Amino acid sequence: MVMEIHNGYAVLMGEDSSFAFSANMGYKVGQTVSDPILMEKKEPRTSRNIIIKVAAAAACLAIACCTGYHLYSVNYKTSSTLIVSASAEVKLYINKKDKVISTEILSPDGEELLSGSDLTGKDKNEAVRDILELSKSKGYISDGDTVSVYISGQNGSSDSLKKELEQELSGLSIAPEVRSMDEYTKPQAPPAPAEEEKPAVPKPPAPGHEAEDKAPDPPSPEKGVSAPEEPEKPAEPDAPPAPAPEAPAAANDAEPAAPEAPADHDDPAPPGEDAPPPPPEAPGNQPPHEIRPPLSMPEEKPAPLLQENAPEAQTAEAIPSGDSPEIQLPNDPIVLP
Amino acid sequence: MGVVTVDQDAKQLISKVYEAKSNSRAADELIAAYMPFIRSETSRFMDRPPRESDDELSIAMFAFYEAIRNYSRLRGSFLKFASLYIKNRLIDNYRKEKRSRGIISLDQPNNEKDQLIDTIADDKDEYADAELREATQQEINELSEQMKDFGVSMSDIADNSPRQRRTLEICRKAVRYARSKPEILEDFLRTRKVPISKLAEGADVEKKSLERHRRYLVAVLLICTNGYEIMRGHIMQVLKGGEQQ
Repeated sequence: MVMEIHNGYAVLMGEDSSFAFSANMGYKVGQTVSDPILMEKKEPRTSRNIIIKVAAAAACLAIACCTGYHLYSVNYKTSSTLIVSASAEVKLYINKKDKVISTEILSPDGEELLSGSDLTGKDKNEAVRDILELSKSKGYISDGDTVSVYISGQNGSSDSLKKELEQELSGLSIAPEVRSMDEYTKPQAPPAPAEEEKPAVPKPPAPGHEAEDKAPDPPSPEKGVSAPEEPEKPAEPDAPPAPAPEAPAAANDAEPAAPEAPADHDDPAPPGEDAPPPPPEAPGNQPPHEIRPPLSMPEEKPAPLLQENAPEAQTAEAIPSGDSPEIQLPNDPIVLP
Repeated sequence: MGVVTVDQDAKQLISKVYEAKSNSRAADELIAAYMPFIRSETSRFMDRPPRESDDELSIAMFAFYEAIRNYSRLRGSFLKFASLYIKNRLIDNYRKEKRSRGIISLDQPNNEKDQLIDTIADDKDEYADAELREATQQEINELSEQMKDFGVSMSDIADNSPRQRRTLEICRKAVRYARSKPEILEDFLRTRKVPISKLAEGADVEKKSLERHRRYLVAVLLICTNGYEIMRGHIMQVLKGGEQQ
């Protein structure tokens, strides 16, 4: 029944006593119509609805993150580590499912051993077996040998691992010795070549003698300053000990400071070196060629050879006499003679 | 300058839309003001200018009113929103008509003089129908006037009417209880308030559901009082059906 008509819509009362908006298809009030076009009422976007939707989305996101983290912690997070120490040493990172996530080679032989092999995804016992089989095939180990296996982490105990490995390696005639990771010692690295970063700084000259030394600064290590030059500390008689801070001042004074002070300026840097040649320390030993300043220091023209008088006097002013450990750097810019 | 004017127009339109949501007069004015837009959308769908008698034009106007009711600022431009509603409604109508295309229309011409419908014996008394319709109209007008005393309009009733079958049945139960207790109806007419608590207790229904549909209950309780026989007869089948149960 048409209860009310408007410009574009009408209000109808149904036989089920419900009221609704409909299209006004030329209706008249009081008319009984059939099959009207009724309005579809949509739920308004109230702030409560929006909050509910946002909360639901946040809950879904939280569930997804938790699931993702759980999957990550089970499959990709390292739960324990295992080091197989035969002639070649290999470290295995194991997840909670006892599968190998990644490997790390701890010795050069290990690199050769595992080249072309991929242990990722394998069961840890199987991976250990593979490593030992490869080691045996390459002759690193032989029947009857005992191989140490170090373990750390949460996946089972040493005893259970030992039993598993014994079972796994039963066909190889190799006895595994399972130990805690605490007992593992890293293989010794070969002695490193002469230090680049801290070449032996020749002791700066004592007050009054620094001009002779042009003792180098604490080296500018970045420039690979003739590391090979100084495998040992200098033992120059001409380079009496002096506090290091002196050196810069002295160097500034005397000549462009060298990154390191080759006390053994008698053995200048090999010509092939990139680093600037060591500054001459003793006047007499000063090479005839110009000394390049270290890269970190401002370029200055080389100071004249030390002479007993004026330069010393100058430098002597800058440096407290007698008490070498305490040096006071001059505030004024250095004036070259 | 031109851009500022467009923005101002858009803002003005949106404020008018929001006013039309709750005010039927404002809605009528807005629809009348945008008739050219409604015609243009309809003609785009029909590929010809619509006539006043075309159902498509009535449907497009109704779709525009629907867009007014459902629009919010988050939706962007109102005219684009309304255009979408109009298009969807016209498409739905087209599909519905396409389904009934095989059915012969009784209005189609039978011969030169009359239509097919004229060949069917008509027991209806058109004069009686016209009188009935006039009486119904009068009743409805009286009901509308009386509802104003209660502060509700027909549009309010349509808005507040229960949508779910379960809720509709709860409200019907309360109305049946009120009809069985004339003192409740008298109290209702006197105080101009729906006795929600008494109805909930007497009909053994949730008070909250009755509260939510208070305005709807005003209209139906009024219809149940004296003077609205035609309307009461229209919905009585449903009301009686519950009593018989």
